Amino acid sequence: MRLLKLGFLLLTALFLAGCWDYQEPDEVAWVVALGLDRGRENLLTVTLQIAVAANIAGAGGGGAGGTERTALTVSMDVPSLLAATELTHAWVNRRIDLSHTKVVIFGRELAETDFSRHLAPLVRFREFRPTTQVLVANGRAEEVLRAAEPVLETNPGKYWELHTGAWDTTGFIPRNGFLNVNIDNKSPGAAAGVILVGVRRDEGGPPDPTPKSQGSYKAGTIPRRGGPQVDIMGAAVIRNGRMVGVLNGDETAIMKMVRGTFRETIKVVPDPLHPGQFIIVQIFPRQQPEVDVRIGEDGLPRVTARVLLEGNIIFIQSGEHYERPERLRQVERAVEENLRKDARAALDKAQNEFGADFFALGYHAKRLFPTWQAWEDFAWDEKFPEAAVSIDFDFQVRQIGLLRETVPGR
Amino acid sequence: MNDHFQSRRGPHEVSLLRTLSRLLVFREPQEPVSAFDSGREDRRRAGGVPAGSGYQDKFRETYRLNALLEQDPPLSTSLDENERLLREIFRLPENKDVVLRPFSIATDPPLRALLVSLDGPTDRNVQNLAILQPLMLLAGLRLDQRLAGEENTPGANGASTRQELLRRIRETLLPGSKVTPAGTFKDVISDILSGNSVLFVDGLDTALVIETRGWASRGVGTPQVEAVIRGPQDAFTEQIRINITLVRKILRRSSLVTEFIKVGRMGAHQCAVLYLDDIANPDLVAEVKRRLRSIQVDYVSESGMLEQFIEDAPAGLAPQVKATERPDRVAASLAEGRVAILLDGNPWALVVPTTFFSMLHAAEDAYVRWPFGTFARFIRYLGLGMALLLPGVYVAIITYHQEFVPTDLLLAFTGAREQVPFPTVVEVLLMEFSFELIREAGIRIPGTVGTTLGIVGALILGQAAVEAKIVSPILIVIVALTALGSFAIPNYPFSLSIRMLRFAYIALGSLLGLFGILVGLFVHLALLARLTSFGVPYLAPVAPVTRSGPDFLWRGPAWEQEQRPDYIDPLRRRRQPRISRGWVRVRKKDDERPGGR
Repeated sequence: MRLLKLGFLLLTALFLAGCWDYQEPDEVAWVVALGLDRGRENLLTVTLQIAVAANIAGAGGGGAGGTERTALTVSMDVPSLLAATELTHAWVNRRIDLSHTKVVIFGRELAETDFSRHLAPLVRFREFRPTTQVLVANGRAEEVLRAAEPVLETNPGKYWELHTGAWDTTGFIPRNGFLNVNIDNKSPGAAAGVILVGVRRDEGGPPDPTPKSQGSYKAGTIPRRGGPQVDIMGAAVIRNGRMVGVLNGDETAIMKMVRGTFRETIKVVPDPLHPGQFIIVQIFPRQQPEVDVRIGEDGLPRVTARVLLEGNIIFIQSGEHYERPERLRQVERAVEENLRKDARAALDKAQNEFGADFFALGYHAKRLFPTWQAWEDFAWDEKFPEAAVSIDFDFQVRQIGLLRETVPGR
Repeated sequence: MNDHFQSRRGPHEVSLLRTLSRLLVFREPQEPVSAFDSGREDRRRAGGVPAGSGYQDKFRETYRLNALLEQDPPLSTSLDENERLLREIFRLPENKDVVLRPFSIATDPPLRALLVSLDGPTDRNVQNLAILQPLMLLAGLRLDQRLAGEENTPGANGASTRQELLRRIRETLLPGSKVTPAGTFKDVISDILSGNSVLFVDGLDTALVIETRGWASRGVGTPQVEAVIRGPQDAFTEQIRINITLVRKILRRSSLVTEFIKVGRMGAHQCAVLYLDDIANPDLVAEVKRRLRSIQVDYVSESGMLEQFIEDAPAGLAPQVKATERPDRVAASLAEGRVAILLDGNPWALVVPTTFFSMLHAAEDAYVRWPFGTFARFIRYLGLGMALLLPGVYVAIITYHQEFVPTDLLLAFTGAREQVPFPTVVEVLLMEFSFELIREAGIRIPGTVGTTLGIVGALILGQAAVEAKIVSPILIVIVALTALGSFAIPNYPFSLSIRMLRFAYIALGSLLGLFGILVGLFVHLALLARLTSFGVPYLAPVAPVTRSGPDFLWRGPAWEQEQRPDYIDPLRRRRQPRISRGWVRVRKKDDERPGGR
């Protein structure tokens, strides 16, 4: 009997929970992307991209295929990010849920002044995931979100996820994630390199058919026709909580190589013996980069970074027999030289233009200091522009492709 | 109230109502009131039974007969007296099943005798050829001279003469394989009821029970519930003797003991307790017998009923007795040191003690090579998890923890539910109950209309419910997986308990989300851990941890099954030597290890 009473009490205790958190998924508006801009009529303009689940699942009964809208994008002027979620209820009949937000896009104007301040709510608010991607738009975020329409997939969440996840198949997109950005942003010794996103713009200008690296572009300026309106390429560098500049694709690749987050890129390298012709190689990391930091007698850091790469020859335009074992070194040297050129440009931006260590070399220097206090006192970020930094590459050809030797066509 | 209504109605109306009510409601007949009186129950309780009523007479007679039987009267030397009592006990002449065959044993002078048997369970041929024929035709040849001589000295020598006569009839005249003397009515009656014939001879106070049992019974068939692909294909049948034979056929061992215990007072069923005397723990055997003997019940016809009388915790969340219809499983259990209980007239043997893990073992696990046996077991554990938790976890995640779900899947869930009018819990309960309905109906449905069930179940409930937007298509997948999971559980009673507990988990999931599921699992495991089967912890050998071979969670190779389960505490623990494959080369180290052999 006592057991029965106890059981009854325990059973009723279950109902005390009240099911307050109970929510049906179809009573919730799933926000897949957020945009933050400097406000027009208030402090901020917040743009929400909400997935239209009924059209995505296709089970809604329409069956009209991909012609229906799968995302709903609305901008509001509000004093803060989370205020927007409340104001949304004025026009959306469902509860707003941010737990499936894939990207948070900062407008350039806002990023250049207040990046850190508006990143803070993401850290504290429980609905944001550490894997949420933080992006910076080359214009206004609301334009980006309005222009972003998934073409290959119906789900805008998947669109953003796959798009930002492409960092492991190209060197032009930084490896990101809100967690990493936040760490880089707060720690002394590194500057965050945030994915750059842009709406395509017609630059106009005269045609210029000279050879250029495909990595020399940034989001929004890629010369292409057709396809979706939004590009992701290059990086925005954040220093002291403010965006200080933009890296193009090649520089982003160098940043990733030195940071050790690089996975794969394709390089078009000038043929050393045939000017105007190119060797195309696929490049992968061989090992983690070797970074050596010392503090010189003048108190300035001396950094030697050695990036260890390997790769495959895809194509030799000139038909020169570089594939021969004794001549492979020529290709390797050409690739290294090409990378060195990019590295010089990137380093120039880091030290002279932005004064921001987006290579995160400071993380390697940390271990030289016995205490955190000593490390902070050293003020890496101030000293980095004066530091002697050399970035070197060691490239080895791993495979020469399916051809043993190029035989020119007759 | 009635007066109130009647006062408003005219007399015609009232009579019409009466006629109607007479047609609609069964009315007890008016005559005879005394024999069929609706008030008799009350009067009986008050002790005031009207004099001369049939009820009272019957009551008294029954009481007298029962009291008589309780005393267990010895047989009389008078054949007439014995016959009179038998007629009374078997309610002759109303009862047409009992056959009393008076005849004379062909001696000189002829001896009067009476053969009593039941019409039906008795084998008529055996009766004719092995009892009546020798006694009526051949008795003269064998008994005459000897008895004729002895008949000259009656009186003081009479008793020994009768014993001698009995011995001779038994030894020389009855060729049946099993002839036993019986001295009391109780023995005689129970033998008659079980299909034996009883021979009464005038002047003898001992009757002879002759084995003539010939019940109609099913032959040994294939297992209906525990079917296997590899392995023996015979299953127990309704005859306990055949069943024991099936076990003995596998375990040809002199220490295999079969003890019979009668269970039930009204129709005492033979209940056989099987164990290996040199392996089974004697305390366990004693406990099984103690529990069986203590049962006070009218009758137990099914091992499922017997199970309820002997299990440790009647309200436990899982069956504590393993029922099997396979002789090979019984034999394997006996060889491990367990005890089997077989009930006459029942094709299900009970094996005790049993544990949680053996609920998920199938006979086939041991018959296929061990990686596949192990794989099958893991599939079953997966099935168990799905049958128990999947709907509950689905409800919990869908309604509380949407951040668990990949966005694509979540949007698929959301889109699928867009036009469903019910909350997820109602939707899940609806489908789960429908499925239980299909399953129950599938068992009860007559075979001839069985095919319609598939159409109703699969098409109407599955397809149409989705198209009518009553449930979301994803839920059908969940319900189907749950159903498959529950069918993968090899033990039917265990699967029943899982099926029911599933609803508890749905309730917990919908009230408290995953937290509720975890609370449920915690309580569930605690209750299981507390459960025992004949004193053996239900979760052994995991909780408490005991020594165990590689055969509880997964199935090890047959040559590694070296020890009997520790938790059964058998008399002999080692089942095979450390090196049971005699042909492999023995490493020096193994050979030297103490107790290695």
